[in-house]
Amino acid sequence: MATIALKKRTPLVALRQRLDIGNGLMPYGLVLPSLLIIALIAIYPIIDAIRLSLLDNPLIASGNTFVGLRNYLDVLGDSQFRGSISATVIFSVASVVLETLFGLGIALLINRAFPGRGLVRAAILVPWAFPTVVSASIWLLMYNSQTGIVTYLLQQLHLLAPGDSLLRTNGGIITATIITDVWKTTPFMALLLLAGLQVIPDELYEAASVDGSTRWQQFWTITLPLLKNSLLIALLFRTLDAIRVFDLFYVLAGTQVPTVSSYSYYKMFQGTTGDFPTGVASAVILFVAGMIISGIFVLLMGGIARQD
Amino acid sequence: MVPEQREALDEIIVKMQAGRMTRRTFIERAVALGLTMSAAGTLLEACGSSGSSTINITWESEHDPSGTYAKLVENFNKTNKDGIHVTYVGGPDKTDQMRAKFITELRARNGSTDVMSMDVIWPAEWGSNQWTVPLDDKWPASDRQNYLPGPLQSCTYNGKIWAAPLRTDAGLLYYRTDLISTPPSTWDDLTNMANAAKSKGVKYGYVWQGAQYEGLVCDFVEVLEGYGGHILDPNDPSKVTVNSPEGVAALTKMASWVNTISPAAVTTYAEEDARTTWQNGDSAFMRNWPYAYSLGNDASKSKVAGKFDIHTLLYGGSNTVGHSCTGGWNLGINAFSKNPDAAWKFVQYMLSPDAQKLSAKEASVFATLLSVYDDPEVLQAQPFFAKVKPVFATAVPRPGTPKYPDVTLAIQKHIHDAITGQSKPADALKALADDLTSIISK
Repeated sequence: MATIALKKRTPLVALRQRLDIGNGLMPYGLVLPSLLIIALIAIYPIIDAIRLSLLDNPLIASGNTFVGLRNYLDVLGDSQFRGSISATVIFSVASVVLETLFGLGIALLINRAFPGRGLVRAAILVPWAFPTVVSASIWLLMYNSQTGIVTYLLQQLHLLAPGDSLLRTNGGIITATIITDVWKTTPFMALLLLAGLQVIPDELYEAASVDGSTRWQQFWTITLPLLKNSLLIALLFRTLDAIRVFDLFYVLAGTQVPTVSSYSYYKMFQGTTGDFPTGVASAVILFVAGMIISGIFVLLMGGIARQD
Repeated sequence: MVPEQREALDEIIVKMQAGRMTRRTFIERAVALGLTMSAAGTLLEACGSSGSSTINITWESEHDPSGTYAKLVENFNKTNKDGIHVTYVGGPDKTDQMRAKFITELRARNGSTDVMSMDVIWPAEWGSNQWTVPLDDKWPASDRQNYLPGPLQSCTYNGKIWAAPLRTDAGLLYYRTDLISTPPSTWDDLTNMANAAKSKGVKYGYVWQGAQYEGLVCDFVEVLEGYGGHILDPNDPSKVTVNSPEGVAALTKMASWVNTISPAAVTTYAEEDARTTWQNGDSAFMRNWPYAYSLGNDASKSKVAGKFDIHTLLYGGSNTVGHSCTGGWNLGINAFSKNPDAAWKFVQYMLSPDAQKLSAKEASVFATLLSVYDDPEVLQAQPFFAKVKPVFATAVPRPGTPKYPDVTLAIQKHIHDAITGQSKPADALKALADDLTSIISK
């Protein structure tokens, strides 16, 4: 294994040396097209969204006047928006924590060798392969108050009264979205963590066993510290994904429990013309929150890189 | 030639004749379908070059599972003498998705959908934005008299007609004739009878639409108007009148049904949830739209076939008349359309006795043309039409205001809070009145 890798690496290094033309403009020229594309499809829309959020109302002819932070004050003053923040935060924290725990458990299980492992690894990804809006609709049927299997089971367990439904209360709706999201996204978490587990050398465990450590000690002193980077990346992906959750709530909650994303959607595309700027402002707030979260994770990962 | 090929070939021929396809695309598609190059060329010549004189317009309708609209469009394309070709597009079955799509087009001043099906609650908003062409000059008042006044009223905003009423709808009270001997006339009667039926072993007394969505607004408007209250002052829609003694009585009544005569989960019910319960024979009463009538009488899918009847909605308090809430669809002509006159010709066809009768007969769609309700052919195909006609006479619309999208969200939220017990009816109405006042004065 190691020798093959070495053989491959040698021509690659040679190629790099041949291409290296010192500190000229060549490298910049090579990345320029990608930078231009990113500027066009990512940076320009972001800047334009921020610009729109500072205007009176771009949808009316006389609305192109600059109004500063008024739209932001409007949106922060809206009790429905504050409600959407708490729904988003509760959903994100609960679903990410549960997915990490379950994902880690599954990753540890399928990391060991057993017959049919390939099949299990593939099968476990099935829920993740569904488009969210489809799985949300399937779960909506299962939560249905008359024909849903989840409702039936909860009623048999006396957790729900007859004729009741989990989707009746706001708390119940958030619980239902968390259950659905955990079902759907745990495989993704498991896959990312499995990739992290696979690069931990077996020698470490062998050495630890020779020294007489228990499995539990091995987990805390070998697995978890070496998994930290993969775990942080997985958490970053999931947290960013969770705070912008739209489809699950769109299907399961409608306007009853909006998240920040669905609040923006309702304001921008389903409200009156006058609602548009508030929707844009809330979308920008969500974007800034996403940037802050990425920033925190990047700092954490940078800290780890330096330690290494 | 297999049927799929035949169909595909028909399609490209129609498109070519209508001038909706280039000659090159036509040849490419024909060859792809297995024709030789020379056969495709001959076919192309046969199609003629009528493309230049044809006016193409597009109509996107509301969801139509019956296929009647596609049929009407086909009839129009075959019979009109003005060289107008209508492309029919079936819309999504979720009304709010359709509205989101339309208003995104309209805000971008896009005229590609020339004729748009509009829900009965949109004309005020669309009119105030001037998104549709006013019909006052095109449509003579003498002809307008032949149509139901309620739907026509719903197309009117600020003294102008912004859409043409295509079909109407009204809420009905369904009751089980095997359990209820004489139908109730007040909401109190209904409560008592539902309780009595429940003690006789029916699972629930009354099912209705209690989820936080547009349907709840209709159900609330019906109970509220039955008690003599109004959401906005009918004479001055800038005045919020929902927080009245009648309002409190109506909402208290509705909240009292939840978890007594109605299941606790009625606050998650839309039309179809109520209909499922009803057709399983699990409820003595149901509030629903007329579409549930023929479905409920289908013995292969319904346990209550032949065991129910319909009644107008009920009243309460000191009031003596019940009111249904109107639904239905209108046709609006896109203000950015390049062919508004051709679009109007098509709208005129959809309002014509032929078209109105056909949709009534084949899809039991409630026509807006008055004469349809007395037409012997229609009554023979849909005997139920005679029963529904009086309901339309007292039916009331939802509040007509350009701010309707915000108004409805506020109503949905506060009424839902009250029926789920998160707030007291009086508090919910006070909060609703405050929200509505600030929305309307904005």
